[in-house]
Parts: sequence; structure tokens; C-alpha cells
Amino acid sequence: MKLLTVTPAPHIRDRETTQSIMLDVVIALLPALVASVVIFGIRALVVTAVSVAAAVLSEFLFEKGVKKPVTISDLSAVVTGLLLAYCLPVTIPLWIAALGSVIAIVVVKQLFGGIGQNFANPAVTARVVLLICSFGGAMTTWTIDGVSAATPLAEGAVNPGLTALLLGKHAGCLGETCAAAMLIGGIYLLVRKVISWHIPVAYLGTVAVVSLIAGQDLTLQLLGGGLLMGAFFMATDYTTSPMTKEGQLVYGVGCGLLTMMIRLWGATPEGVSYAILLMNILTPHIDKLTSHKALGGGEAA
Amino acid sequence: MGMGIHGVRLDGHKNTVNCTPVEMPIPEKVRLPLALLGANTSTFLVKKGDEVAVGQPVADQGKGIGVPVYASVSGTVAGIEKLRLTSGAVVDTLVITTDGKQTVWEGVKAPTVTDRQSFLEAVRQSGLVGLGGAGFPTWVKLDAQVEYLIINGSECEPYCTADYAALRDFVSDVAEGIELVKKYIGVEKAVIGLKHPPKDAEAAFKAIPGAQVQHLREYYPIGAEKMLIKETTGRVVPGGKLPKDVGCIVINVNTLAYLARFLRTGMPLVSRTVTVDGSAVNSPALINAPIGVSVGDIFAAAGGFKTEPSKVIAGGPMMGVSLDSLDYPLLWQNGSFLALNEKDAKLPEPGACIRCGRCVEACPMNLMAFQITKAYRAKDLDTLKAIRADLCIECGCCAYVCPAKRDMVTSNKLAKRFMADEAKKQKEKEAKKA
Repeated sequence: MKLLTVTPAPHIRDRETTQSIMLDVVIALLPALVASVVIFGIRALVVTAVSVAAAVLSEFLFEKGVKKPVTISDLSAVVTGLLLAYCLPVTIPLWIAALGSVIAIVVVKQLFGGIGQNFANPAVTARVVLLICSFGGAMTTWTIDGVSAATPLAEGAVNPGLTALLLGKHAGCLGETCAAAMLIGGIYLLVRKVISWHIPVAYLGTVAVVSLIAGQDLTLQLLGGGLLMGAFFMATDYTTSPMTKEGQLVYGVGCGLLTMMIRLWGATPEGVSYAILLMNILTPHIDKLTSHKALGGGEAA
Repeated sequence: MGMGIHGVRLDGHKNTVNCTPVEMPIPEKVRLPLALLGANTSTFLVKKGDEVAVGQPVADQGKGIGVPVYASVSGTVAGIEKLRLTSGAVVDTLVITTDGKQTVWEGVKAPTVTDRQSFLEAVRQSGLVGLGGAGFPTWVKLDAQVEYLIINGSECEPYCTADYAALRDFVSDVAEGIELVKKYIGVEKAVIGLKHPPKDAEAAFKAIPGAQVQHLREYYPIGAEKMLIKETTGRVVPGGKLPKDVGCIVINVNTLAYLARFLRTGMPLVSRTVTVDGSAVNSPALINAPIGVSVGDIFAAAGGFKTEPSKVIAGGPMMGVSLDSLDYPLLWQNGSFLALNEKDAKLPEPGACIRCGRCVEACPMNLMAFQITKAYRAKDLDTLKAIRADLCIECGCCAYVCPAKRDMVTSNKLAKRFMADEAKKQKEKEAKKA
């Protein structure tokens, strides 16, 4: 008889894996891809493909280069590539899309130790880097139906109406425009329990409350920019958000407050990326303050 | 939030709930190890060549918290050999070759119990230890002044059904055990925690004065002592304290049934019912087996294997210990043996922590499980103390839910050992100074 396998308990494990979670996120992002192709044409698909390919390839090459186990099969690089693409205008030169992915994967993620180790959200940070570098306005040149236009949140822009916001019939980034697609994806993540309600509800709720107090147009503030993508897909990134539900509420409220501060008083019309990035930096502190107390723990032993 | 429903929901796999326990054929030999809880001080009362009968004491109770060991078969003492327990400890083990007659020892007679002291002494003499899995001597547990007797009928590990069978087939014994403890230990309230009990079980407990049945919520590890106390009384056992410190005794249904039978008949703990299941067995079964019989013999009695087993577990799949051989004896506290096929035996490869927080949500002790691994690897004693790694109950929930398949339980166990060792070193240092 052959030898028995001896392993530590538990001897059974839940079916969920890092890969299955990331696959769920990819699935949740697909409605937005379809919407972006409908709204902006086939170039939206090309930009997304370039961004995803660059993300996966740079992760593969980096890990090969530093002789680390290759982890592209966990699909987290695919998620980063998709999210970054969704932050770009359809007219973006393809090399900038690729560069953004390389920055996200190599600089923000891998140089900090790879999946689970980065302190800032790769896609969000790469977007901010591209925005700051500006590239001759390539990041902020918006077109719809081939005509230049302003995004709904830009100063002086008019609210295109609830239906137009939901369907995405206005200028904006690839993934952000169609609010309905983002909502479908967000609900999918909630139903699949990939994310919990705490961050999106705290984030969206705070934006709604501040908008009402500040006399802002509520539908425009909630649906007109990158808020839904930020609240459902970016602020909920496991690695860069707090571990406890209590911490997640604090973090969501913080994201909401910062977003509205930037939108109301900042130099840019949009504040979601900056807000999330700032809250990423605060995450370790929120974690510390909202750490669970052991049952029967009392004073430390 | 925070204090919501922790733990995990598990598939029950209670394939043997409708099985009637089967008496296994008398094995060729049994092996009875001395050590319980690794602190046994008892010595053998018999030597090679001695004839022994069922229920005859073969080792004395020793000092401290020990209990005597009884022959589970009739036959001849073949000798004393060394046995490596799953804990790693090597202990002296009595080997008895059977004569097939199962002659009962003439000294077996019901004890005379008149008061608390004689009751506790009788429980000690019964050789009874916690049959739910922990194997803690029952008399030590009962030696307390408490408000609540909590009866554990949750059996929350998948596959395991030995407690269910006790509630179904011996519910009057369980009820009698409750009444005996209430009477002699002087406990006023009894809470019987049940999950999907057999019909009629509840009715048997209703008649006991001061007893109430509580249907337990559906999560693992509701049967863990600290969880059960919290669920039934709302009390929290402080770290480093015992259930009795918060006025509770928690006792397993099978243990109570054995206790009642012992006081009636005087037959000590020499056999028990075990669940046999898992993907490698031919047919899941409940087997009545003498203590000390080899695990391989138990599987054979249950109908053998469908495929060659790759992993054999003593206990349930969440907290059970995997054995390195089928040639391991049935110990008093073992309530189930599982044999898994190659596919089920393989654990997934661990990946990097993605900070998803599932372990934090799952921990019934409210620990930040992921931090323990990190602090242990850094040998960071201060952090381990601050996050109370010592309170981990090793239930396995964190590792079960981890999508990165990280073996957090092992790091928790190592962290606890490290903390205990460091505390010991500290004490020795202080002793030297003084």
C-alpha cells in the first residue's frame, strides 16, 4: 500500500479562489465593454485590448525577469488592464494606453511585491500619472460621435438628462460613460459576494448627501462621472482598502468626502481617482483603528 | 457588524444519519496507550502473559488529572510497545491479543454514588474523557460550581454523526446523564444545544426540571466550547480562563450517555460508536468498536475501500488530524474516521494574500487571522500578544475561506507554540534573577 498523505487541517477548502474572484470582476466589467463599443465604436475595443494585453504581458515579463513565479493566471492583471482602459478617452493614442498598463503593473504593483502587496490601486494610480503627464491633452480630449465635447461634470456643461447618463450618450471615458453598465456590474459583484455593500454604499451615500447639502445636481454627481466605476470597482479593490467592514465604511465615507471636495473646490472637474488614491494611503491607518478585538481578549496577554 | 455571524457554512455530508451502528468483529489485537493529554503519570497494572477481561483496569489513574485505562477486550497481554501519537509524543502502549470471548471482568459492578464526592470519584473511575473530540477527563470538567450545564449536541463537523446517533438511540441515557450531573454537581440550569435533532429527542429533555432545548444557528464552529457558551448564555470566556470561570460546564451528549450507563452498570469506557465515511470508502457506516482497535480494522468492518485511500483523518475534515498509517489505534475521543481519495486528499497550492478580509469575517474568535501569519514569520512577539494570537481555537475557518488557499491555521498553531515557549523562557530568566 502506498503512503498516506499527511497534511494539516482543515482538509477541505472553499471553492472560491483568487482566480475565480478576478474572473467575476472581469465578468462584471463586460457590460461596460459592450456599452463602450456601442457608444464609441470599435476603437474602444482596440484600446481595451491593448491595455489588457500590455498589463498581462508586462506582468509576465517582469516576473520572468526577476525570476518570480508567473502569476498572470490569477487574472488580476486582466482586471487592472480593463479598469485602466475604462479610464481612457476613446481617442487616446494606443501607446499611452500601453504605457499606462506598464506603469500600473510594473511600478505600482510588481515593484511593491506583486498581488496583495501594493499600497495603491494600480489602475487608479496609473490613471493619475497619465493625467498629470497630460500628453498634450490626450487624456482629457473627449469626443462623442466623432465630435469634441465636454464631459457632463465639466464646468459649464449641461446635464444631458437621466436617460442619457444611464445609457452613456455623452462624452467621457470608455467605461465610465454608461452608468447602467456600471450598475449592472456592481450589482453582479454584490450578488456574487465578491464585494460587500459597505464601500459602495458609504461612498455613493456620502456623495449624495454632500451634493444635496451643496445644492448640486444629484443625478449628475452620481452618474455623470467616474463615481460608479470608482465606488464598485476601484475603491473595493481588496489590497488597497480596509479589511474590516467598519474600516470599509470609514474608507467609503472618506472617498465620498474627498471626491466632493475636489469636484466642488478643486481645479479639475473630476475627483474620484484622486480621492481613492488618497484613501488608499490612509488604509493601513484605518485598518489599525478598526482592527477587531478578540473575543474574550480583554487586555493584551 | 464585527459581532455578526462569524464562522462558515459547510456542506453537512451527514451520509450516515440513517445508519444503525454495526458491531464490528472482534479484532485480533487492541493497543491501549497510556498517555492522555500528554501528561499521564499512570502505570500499567498488568504484565506480559496476564489474562485480562473486558472492563478490567490495566493502568491506574495516576496523578493529577489522569483516569484509569480499561481492557476493551478479553485476552492475553502480549506486551508493551511504543506508539507515536499524532501529537508526536511517543508513549507506552499495552498490546492485548484477543481470545474472542469478550468475557466481562468479574469486578465490573455499578458504583455506589451518594454525594458529589462519590459521584466525581465514580466518574474518574469510569475512565470517561470528552467524547466530542477533545478527550479532556470528564471528572475534572465536572469538578466545578456552575450555574449552567450546557449540553453539546451540535456535532458541527461535516460527516460526523456519532452524537446524532446517541441522541437518536440513547436519548434516555443522555437525559439521565443530565439529571445525574444536575443532582450531584448541583447545577440548576441545563441548556441542550441541538441542530436538526432526531424527532423525539426534544421531548425527552423537556421532562427534566430546569432544562431547556435551544436550536442552534447553522454555522461552523457553533459546537466549539466558547461559541456554544456565547450562543446559549451570551457569556464570553475570557482568554486563558475556563468555561467554569463564567459559570458553565460544556459536555458532549455521548459523554453524558456513557456516564449514565456507567453509573447503572459499572462498565467503564471500553468501546464507542464511530462514523466511517469519506470519498474512498465503499459505504459510509456507523461502527461500534472496542477502544484500541486499529483504524484499518474499523474501515474493513465498514466495508473497506472503493479506491485506495490517499488520506485518512481521525476526526472531522475541519479539525481532524491526518494519520500516517491505518495501523493507528482507536482512541477514546475519536468519533469519526474519514478516508479520502487522491483528489480530495490534495490541498490546493497557496498563493499571495490579497487582503480580501474573508478570514477576518470568518474568525469566530474575532481575530485578525492574516496578521498572525505575518507576525509569526517576523517572530514579532509583541504584535502576536497584542492581536491575541493565543486565543485562536484552531477551528480552521480562516484557511477554509481563504481564496489564496493560505494555511493560516498552521501558522496560528506555530505562533501559539512560539508564544508559549517565549513565555516559558521569560519565566526561567526571571527565576534565575531571583
